[in-house]
Amino acid sequence: MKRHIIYITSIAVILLQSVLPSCREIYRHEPNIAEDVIVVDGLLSDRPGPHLIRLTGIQMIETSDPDNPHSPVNEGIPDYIRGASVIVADDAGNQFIFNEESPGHYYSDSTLRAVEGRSYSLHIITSNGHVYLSSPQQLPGPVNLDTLIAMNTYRERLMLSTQGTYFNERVHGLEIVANIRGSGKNRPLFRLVPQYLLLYTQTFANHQNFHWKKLYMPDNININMEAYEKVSATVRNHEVTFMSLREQDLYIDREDDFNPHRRILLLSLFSLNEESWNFYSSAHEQIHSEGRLFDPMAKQLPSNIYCDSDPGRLALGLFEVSRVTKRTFVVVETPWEDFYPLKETEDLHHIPDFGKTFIDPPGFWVDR
Amino acid sequence: MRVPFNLATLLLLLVPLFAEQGAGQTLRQEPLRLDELIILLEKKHSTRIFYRQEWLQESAAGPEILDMPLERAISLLSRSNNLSVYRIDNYYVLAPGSDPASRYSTPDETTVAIGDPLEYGRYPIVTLSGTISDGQTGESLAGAVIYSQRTGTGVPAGPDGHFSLNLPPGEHRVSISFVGYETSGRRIYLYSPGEFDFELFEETLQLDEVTIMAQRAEANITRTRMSMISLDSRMLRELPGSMGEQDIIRSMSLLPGISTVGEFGTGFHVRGGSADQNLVLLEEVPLFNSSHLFGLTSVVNPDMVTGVTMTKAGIPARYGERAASVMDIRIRPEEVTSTSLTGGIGLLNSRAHLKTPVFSEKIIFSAGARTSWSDWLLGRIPDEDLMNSSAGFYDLTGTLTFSINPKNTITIFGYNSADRFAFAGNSDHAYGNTLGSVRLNSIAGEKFSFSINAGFSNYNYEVIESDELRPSAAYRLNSAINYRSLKSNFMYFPDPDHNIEFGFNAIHYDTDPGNLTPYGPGSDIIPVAIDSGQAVELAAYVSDNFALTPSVSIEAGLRYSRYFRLGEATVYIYEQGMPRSAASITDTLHFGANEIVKSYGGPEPRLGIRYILDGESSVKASYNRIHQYINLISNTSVIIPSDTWSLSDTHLKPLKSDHYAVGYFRNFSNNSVETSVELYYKRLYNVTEYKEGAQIILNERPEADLINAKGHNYGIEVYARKNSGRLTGWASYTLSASIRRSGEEHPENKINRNEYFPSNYDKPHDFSANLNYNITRRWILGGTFAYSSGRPVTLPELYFYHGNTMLVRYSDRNAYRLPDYHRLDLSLTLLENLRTDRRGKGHWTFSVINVYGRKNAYSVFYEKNDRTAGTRSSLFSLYKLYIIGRPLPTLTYNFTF
Repeated sequence: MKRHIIYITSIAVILLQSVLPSCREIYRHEPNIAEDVIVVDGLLSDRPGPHLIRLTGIQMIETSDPDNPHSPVNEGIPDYIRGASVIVADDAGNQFIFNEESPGHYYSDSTLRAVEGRSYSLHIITSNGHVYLSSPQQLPGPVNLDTLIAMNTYRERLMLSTQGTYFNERVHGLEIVANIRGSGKNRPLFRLVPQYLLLYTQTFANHQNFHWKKLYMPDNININMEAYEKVSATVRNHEVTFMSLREQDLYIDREDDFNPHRRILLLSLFSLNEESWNFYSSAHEQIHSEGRLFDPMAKQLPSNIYCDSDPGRLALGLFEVSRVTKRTFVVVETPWEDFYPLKETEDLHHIPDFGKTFIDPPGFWVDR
Repeated sequence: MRVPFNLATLLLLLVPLFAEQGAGQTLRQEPLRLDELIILLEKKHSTRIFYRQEWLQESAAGPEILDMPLERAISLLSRSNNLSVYRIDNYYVLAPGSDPASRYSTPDETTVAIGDPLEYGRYPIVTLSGTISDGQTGESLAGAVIYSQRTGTGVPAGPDGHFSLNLPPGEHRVSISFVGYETSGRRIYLYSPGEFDFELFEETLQLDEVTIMAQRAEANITRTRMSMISLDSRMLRELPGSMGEQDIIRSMSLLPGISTVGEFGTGFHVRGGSADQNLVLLEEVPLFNSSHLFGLTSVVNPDMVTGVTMTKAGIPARYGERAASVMDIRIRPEEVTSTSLTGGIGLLNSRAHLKTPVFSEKIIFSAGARTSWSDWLLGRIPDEDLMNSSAGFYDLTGTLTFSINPKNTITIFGYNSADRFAFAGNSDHAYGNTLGSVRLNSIAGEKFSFSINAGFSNYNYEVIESDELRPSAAYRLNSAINYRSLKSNFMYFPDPDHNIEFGFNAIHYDTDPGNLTPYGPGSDIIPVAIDSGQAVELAAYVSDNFALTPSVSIEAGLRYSRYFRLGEATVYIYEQGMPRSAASITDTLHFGANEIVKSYGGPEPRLGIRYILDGESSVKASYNRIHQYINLISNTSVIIPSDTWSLSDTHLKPLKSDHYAVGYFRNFSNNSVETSVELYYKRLYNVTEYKEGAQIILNERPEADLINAKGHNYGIEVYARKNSGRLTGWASYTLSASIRRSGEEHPENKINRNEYFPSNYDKPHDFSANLNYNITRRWILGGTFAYSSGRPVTLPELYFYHGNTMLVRYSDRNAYRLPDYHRLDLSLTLLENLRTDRRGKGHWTFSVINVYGRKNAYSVFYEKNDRTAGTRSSLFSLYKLYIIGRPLPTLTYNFTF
C-alpha cells in the first residue's frame, strides 16, 4: 500500500517540477546531539551457535561538501565498541558469555541455542562503565512456509546514467512470492532474508571451471507489514524477492563465456516476537519513507535496549531472539514462460559466498 | 437510542412558517433617519451603500421606502439629498453632485442611468436629449451622430451640438461617432425623459484616477466584529495574481495570521491551526479540498467570486463546525442586466464565466468553467515517464437565481471539480468535489428576513493501480466524505443599531475511509473495506448585535451544538494505560445501524465588544468557543489528496477551541489608511497528533496511531492598509507561537516526553506586503513580498547500521526549522483602453514570480542517493526540495465580452 502513496508524492513533485522550474539540493543540517550512543545488533536463535552480538557507535548526519553540494555524504562507518562485557541470561538463571573475537563483534560458544518458551536478556557493561540491558525476549513459535511460487515478469527501475540523466530500466526476472502460515490463529510475525546463489561455468584455456556466487538482495527489510493481509493466520502472496535474470545484474567478471547453470534461492525465515517485529516493521517503514516529500511523520525505531546506569542515555538497536529456518530452492527451467517451479534441495546457506573448482564440480553442485 | 433527527428536521422546516406569520406585522412606523434607512436597505437587499454622514441632510423618510425596489429607493434618497449615485458591481455609492440625472455607473461597462426611476414604465417612448462635444476643448460637435444599436435609430447633433433621440425605455447601447474622433460607446438605462451630454476625444484619454471605496471607509473602526477581512469584487481584482489569475484562497495567506506550510500546498493555516480547522464555504456549502493540483491553484473560479469574508476571531454564532476560521465565498451575482462573458487564458489553465439575465431579469444565470493545460505541458517534457504521465483538472460552477418577487429569491447552486493525475501509465489518481445547494432568501417584513439552505458536499479520492506487469496486484482504492445540511438563518432588525440573528443547523456526515478492491479479472487483491461512518451534528444559535451606547456595541451570541456518532460501527476497547494496538484490545463493541455510538456537545458562547475611542480609532475584544467534530487525518505537514476525514468517536474526541482576541484599530488620512494591532490567544483541547510513522490509509484502527494533545496558539498581528491614491495595498506582520503537548501516560504515546513542542504551523515571524502602484490609468505595477520563519520539521540526526542496513535516528518532534522563507513577486498590468465602443475588452498581465530566485525549502527529506549505471551504493543524504528555484515569468490575457 505504500506504493501508491509514493506515487502520489512522486507525481505531485514531478508535476510541480514540470510546470515549474523546481529542483532539489543537498540540505545542510547541523544536528545537536551527543555522539556517545551505543547500537546493539544482536541475534540469538534456536539454531546452534555461535551467535553474534555486534556493538557499534553512531555517525552524525553530516552536511555536504560546500564545494560540491550535490555530492552525497554520510559515508562514514560507525566505530565498533570494544572491550565490553557481554552476557546473555535466561529466565532459568543461566548466563552465557559472549567474547569479543574481532572489534565490536562478540560471539557465544557453539552450544548456545535459544529454547522455546524461555526468555533471554542481554547485559552489556561498556569499558566506560555504562550498563545496558535489554528487555526480556522470548523465543516465538514457528511460522511455516506453505508454498513458494516464481513468476516470470519484468520490473521497471528509474536509473540515473553516468551523464546524470534518468532512464527507465526494464529488468526481466522472477517474482517470487510465498504463502506463510503462523502456528496459531493469529497473524504470523516474520521476516525473510533471501539470497541468490548462482551456479555457472566458464571456460578458460579449453577447461570448464565451475563457479558459484551468492548475490545479496537489496538491503530492504523484508517483513510482513500490518495492513490488509492480516485477515487470517496465513499471509498470502508475500513478496519474497525479485530475482533478476539479466546477466549484467550478476556482476560476472568475464561475461563472454559465461554459462549459467542453476539459479538458487537461499531463504532464511525468521519467526519474530512482537518487539522484534515492531523494530523491523519500523525500520521497513523508515526505509520506505525515503524520498517522501510531504514530510511524513518520522518513524522512530523502537529499541529494546536501555541504559540502566544512566536512564537518560540513548541506546539504539535490537537484541533479537528469533526462530530461524533456512531452506534452499532451485529454480527449475521449464518450457512455460510464465511459471518457474521451485524445487527444494539440500540447504546451501553454509557454502562460501563465492568460489570455483576446476575440472570437477563441487560436491554441492546441483545437477540439471 | 436513536437520534431525533426527523424531529429536528421538522423543527427546521416549521420555524420559518411561524416566522413568516410574525413577520407580516408592521413593527415600527415612525420616521427613520437617513442613515438608519440606509442600513435597513443594505440588510434588506444584501447590498452595501457607501456615503459620508455629512452628505446626508437630516430629512426624515418613512419606512415605506423599504418596500420600494432598491433602485427606486436609492433614487429617492439621492434626489432628496442632491446626491449622485454610482453603482459599482453590486454596490452603490452616494456622492455629492448636482447632476439632474442620477448616474449608475460601473468602471467596466460605463452604464448610465438617465431619468427618474420612479417614472419608469410611465412612457412608451422617452426622449433622450443632450449635447455632443469635444471632451478636451468643450467645443460642440455639430454633425456628430448618436445611434442606438437596439432600435437601429440615430440622429445627428445640430449646430450647437444638441441632439434629441426618441427611444423606448430600458437598456440601450448607444454609440457616438464623428469624423476625426474615436467612436465612443456607452451603455445607458433610460427610465424617463432625460438629458445627458456626451463627449468625444481625438485620442484615448487618460482620466485622473478616481478611487471609490467599495466598503464604508471607517467600517473597520465601527463594526463590532474584529479579525475579519472582507473583500468585495473590486478588492478581489486587486489581489496578487498567481499563475496568471487571482487566487482567492492563496491570497488570503498574505493577510495577518494566515499562512501556508510551503510554496504551494493544499489549504491554509489560521493563527496556528491546521488546515482542516478552516471552514471554507462556497455559497454556504463547505469545500473539503480547496486546491487543484496539490495547491497550485484554488478550486474557486476567481472570475465568479462576488465577495469573500474571512473571519479569524469573534466568529459569529451562525458559524460553527470548524475551530479556526470561516471563509465565506459568495459567487451568486446580485443583479445582472446584460449578458457578459469574462475569462482568461493563462499558462496553467484557462477559464470562462458567463452571466446573463433571463425572462426580464427574473432569472439570473451564471456559470463558469476552468480547465488546465498541464496534460499538454507534460506531453512536451523530454522524459519518458512524464510524457506517459498525465495531470489535469477542471471545475464547473453555476448558479440560477429566481426572483419570485422582490422579497423572495431562490438560488440553485452547483459545483463540480475533478483533478486527476497518472504516473507513467501505472497509477491513476483522481479526486474531486461536488457541491450543490438550494437557498431561499426571503424578506418577511420590514425588519425581518430569513434564509433556508439545503446543501450537500462530497469529496472523493480514488487511485487505480493497474499494474499491467502484475495484474494480480492491480487494485482500486477509494475514500470519500459526504456532507448534507439543512440550515436556516433568521434576521430581525428592531432598529438600525440592533440586529438579532438566530437559526438552526442540521448536518449529516457520511465518511467512507477506504475501500480496497481488486482491479481487473486477474487481481488477487483481497478486498478490504474500512467501516464507513456516519454522524449527525445539530446546532441552534442566537446572536444579538446592538449598540449599548454610541461608542459601545456588542455582538453576543450562543450556539449549542450536539453531535451523534451513529452506527453501524465497531468500537475497540483498549487496556487502560496501554498504547492502543491489537494487543491491548480488551473488548469489542458492535453498534447497529443508526444506533448512537457516542455523543458530544456543548455550548459555544460568542462575544464581541467594540468601543469607539474617537472618530478614527476603536478598541475591540472577542471570544468564541467552537467544537469541531470532524478531523482531517493526515500524517504529513502538507495536505495531500489521499488524506481522509475522520468523525469524532469513542476515541477521537472533538476538538474544542477557546479563542480570545483584543485589538486596537485606527485610521489615518481621512480613512484612507487603516491600521490595526490584534492580540490573540487560542486554547485547543483534543488536538489530533500522530504517533511516529502513523498510518492513515486502510487503517482499521486509526485511533491506534493518533495521540490526544493540547495546544496553545498566541500572537500579535499588525496590519496596515492604504486604500486610495496611486499607491494602494497592505502590509502585515505577525509574531506568534503555536505549541502542542501530548497528555498520554504510556511512554510510547508521549511526544517529546509530553513536553511542549512547536506545531507544524508554528511560524514565529510572518511578514507580507502587497502593493499596487498606478503608473498611469492603464499601467499598474504590483508587487508582493512575503517573509516568514521556517516551519518546524523533524529531521534525522544520526545514522547507524543494523546488519547492512543503514537506519536513522530522528530528532524530537519538530526540533528543527526549515530555513526562513521569503519571496518577491512583481507584476505589470496593462488595462484595456478607454475606447468604450469596443465589443470586447481585455487586459494583459505580465508577472514574475520569485524575482530574485530564492530557493525556498518546500520540504526536507532524506533519500538514498540515486543509483547510477556506474555506482550501486546506497548512501543517503538530506535533500531540500524547492518548487520555484528561479524567476518564473508568466503572461496572461484576461478578457470581457
